[in-house]
Amino acid sequence: MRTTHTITFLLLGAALVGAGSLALRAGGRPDPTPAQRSAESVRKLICARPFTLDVAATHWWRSEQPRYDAGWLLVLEVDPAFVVAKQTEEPVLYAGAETLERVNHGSESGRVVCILPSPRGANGLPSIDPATLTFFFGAEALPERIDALEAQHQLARAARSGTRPFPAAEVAAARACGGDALGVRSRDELDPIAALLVLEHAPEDADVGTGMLAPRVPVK
Amino acid sequence: MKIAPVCAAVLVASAAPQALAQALPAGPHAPAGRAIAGLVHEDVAGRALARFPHFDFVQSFYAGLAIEAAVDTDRHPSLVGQTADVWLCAHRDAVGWGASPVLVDVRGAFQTVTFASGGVQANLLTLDNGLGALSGDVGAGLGRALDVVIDMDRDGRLSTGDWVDGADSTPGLWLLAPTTQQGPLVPVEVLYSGGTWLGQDLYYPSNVASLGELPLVVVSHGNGHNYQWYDHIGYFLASYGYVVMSHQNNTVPGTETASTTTLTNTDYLLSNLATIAGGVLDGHVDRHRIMWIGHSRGGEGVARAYDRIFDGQYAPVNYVLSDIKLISSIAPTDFQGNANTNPHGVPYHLWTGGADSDVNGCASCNICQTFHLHERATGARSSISLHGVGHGAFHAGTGGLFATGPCLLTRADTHAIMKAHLLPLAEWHLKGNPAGREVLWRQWESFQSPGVPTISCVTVDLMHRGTTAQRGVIDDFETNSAIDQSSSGGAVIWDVQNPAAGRLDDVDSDFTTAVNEPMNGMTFSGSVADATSGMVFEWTGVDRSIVFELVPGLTDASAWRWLSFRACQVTRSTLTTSQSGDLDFSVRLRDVNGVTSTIAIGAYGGGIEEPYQRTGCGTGAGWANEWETIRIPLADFTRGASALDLTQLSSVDLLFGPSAGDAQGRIGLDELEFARD
Repeated sequence: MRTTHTITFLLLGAALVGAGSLALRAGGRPDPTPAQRSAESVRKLICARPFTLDVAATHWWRSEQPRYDAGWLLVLEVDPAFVVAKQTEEPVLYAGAETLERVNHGSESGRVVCILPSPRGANGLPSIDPATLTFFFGAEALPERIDALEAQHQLARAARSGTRPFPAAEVAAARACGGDALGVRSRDELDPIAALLVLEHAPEDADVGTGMLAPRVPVK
Repeated sequence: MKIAPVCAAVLVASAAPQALAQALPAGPHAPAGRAIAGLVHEDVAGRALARFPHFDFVQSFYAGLAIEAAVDTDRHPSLVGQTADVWLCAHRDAVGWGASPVLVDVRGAFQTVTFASGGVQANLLTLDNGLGALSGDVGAGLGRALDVVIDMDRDGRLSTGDWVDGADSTPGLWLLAPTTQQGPLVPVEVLYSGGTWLGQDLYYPSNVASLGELPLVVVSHGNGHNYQWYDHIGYFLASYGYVVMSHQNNTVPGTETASTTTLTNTDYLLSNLATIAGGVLDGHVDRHRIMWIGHSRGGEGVARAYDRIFDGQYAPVNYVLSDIKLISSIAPTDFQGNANTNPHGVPYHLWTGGADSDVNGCASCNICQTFHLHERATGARSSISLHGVGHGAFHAGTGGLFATGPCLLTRADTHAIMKAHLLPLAEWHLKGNPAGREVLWRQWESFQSPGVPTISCVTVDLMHRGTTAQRGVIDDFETNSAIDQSSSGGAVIWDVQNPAAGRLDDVDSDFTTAVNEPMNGMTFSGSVADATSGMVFEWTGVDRSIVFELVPGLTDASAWRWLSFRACQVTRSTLTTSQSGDLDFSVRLRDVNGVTSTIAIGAYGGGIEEPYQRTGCGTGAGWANEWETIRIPLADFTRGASALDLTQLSSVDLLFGPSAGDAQGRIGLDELEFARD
């Protein structure tokens, strides 16, 4: 298993919780609406499974488009109002100071399957611990425009609104739900597993799941 | 309908056909492979109008609807009293007719007519009553090409002195199959994936192996949509001989990411034809004829993808910029603005739903004003606006219609209209087939495919503009911001009320009428980088006019085919709300001798449509200003006994008020020009 740390994630999330004095850059995105500030916008961590990739993938959900070769496959329960699909800007889902890749929308079930990229730790597994992160919806934006500074900015705002990490017992339950660490060759092999989670937890998004499970074209 | 060599036609028609036959070397008995000389090429097929110019010479007809013909004996008085036979024949080009001049009527029998004085009104003929004698089904084609022959010497052959509509590079008319129906080929669908963000839903004709190389249509869905939701496009176009691929589109991060998936999926398909679907498409996809059609964020994404190649930011492996023949955006967003999402010179097409509650078009939301990309396109461009259609009605998936407003259309209704428009659009841009091209500009009220919904809620507005080479711009308001001078440099003399010229951008955040906001309801321009400008004005119960004097380069209009402009009723103006319907006014041409000819725009079956009566975005009813293009054939101004000299025009006059149409109104005006194909 190749260990390629090609990114430097700004995972100061936990440390910055409550860091209300963080300087905000000029032009930072406006405050979320009152509803978005709700600590209840991300209600529960249902499942969490660590994974590693032999071949690093691109995190398209950040302007820097960092590469990652490990992370967490998560199932979150959220307020459905935050994940109604629209063509204009949507609330961005964060874990700490990182944007989450949302695999499905989940506007009916309130269940969102997500991918949280992470560097690898010394043990070869994701170095990020979901138990230390706050999960929240930030201001409406295109995730591809969110850079590290903006992510920190949103985290600080979330912290000021009272958002906190999930209780340890809940995270432990989610870890149990998720199962053992998953080692796959690439995102191509991770996708079917994410698709099955969509079908299980957000059946109204079945088209997303079945679309990801389409038969693979044989490689020449 | 073609630009006929009018002067030559008059000359020939006035001479004795027999004498010409003796004088000209080629003719009915010319050696095979040579064109027949001395034919009179004139437009004949068309449709009767209730008022001047009394007849509309057009080229496309839907099977099942009447086909009429007319001869203007005011312009050709020598025909009066003459008897001839009228034949409707399969189209051949000039050489084909030379090789085989025997007339065979596709209806089974020709008609005999004797021409009378009184112009087109006195010389109308129904070629087909639309009751099924002719079929528009011609295999995988959109239409059936026919020529109309008036056999003056009644010898049953196309020969010198005969009149013919067609018989050259273009036919006299196209008989179109209803474009709402599936085509004759059997489509096959295959779902597969090449990996992450490479899920593809593929459609192709089952007999693709025998069809050569087919054009490729790539569908890029919108945010929250799915690539399996475009069966209505895939199955439909595949049945007419297209390969359609709808792909997973990474829209949630944004339109830049979406553009990446458009680019990579197109490349993936083209580089894996040997293995996809068992290799059935290998050698049967024409990578030089590609159309990208995207929806909402995907609609912006396809234009952004083109712009990335244009700017050298992305280099496709299996295709190049010039292989993209058409970009079509369904309710596109505009996140990236003029600098990044710009179709440049590629042919561009836009679909807009008036009831869209997502990309809603309100003045407060620059991101969701759908016309920005269309206005940036510098090549040929066209648009279709549909009242009552919501954002979700354009796809065939689950979820709501995302629609707000009165008189909402269902997905089924929307898809029928989409098919009727999409096929002619694709045929023209991807196959060079002009059979249904008139769908892009003829008013919906008078030209629509059988099978489209006919409920009163259906209102469709079209805009169309050709390439720069096909336009002689009189005034597009982009330069010479003063109202009294056109962009071409001519004087503009006006007495309309409250005129204003400037960027077509509603500068506040709503559509509420305000005295100090002349451009209320305009959504063509977003940021100041979008410079589309135009004019607004009004009239109230008294005759008014705007006279555009022509500069020397534009006085000879004989080489142009249409006078064209686009106009809209201004939303929520009391002059619009009190009108509550199509708006009519007139266009007058004046030549250097002072001869004039005037045509009311409503003569062709529709005026300027009223805005969709949706509320919100401020107070009042009426959504964004909805423009439509009016094209009037220049030859129509010479109908009857008019002595108007199209080679020496002096002005184009727009006439408003009780004597010219509706008594009052407030409209926007832009792109006044001469045009040809």
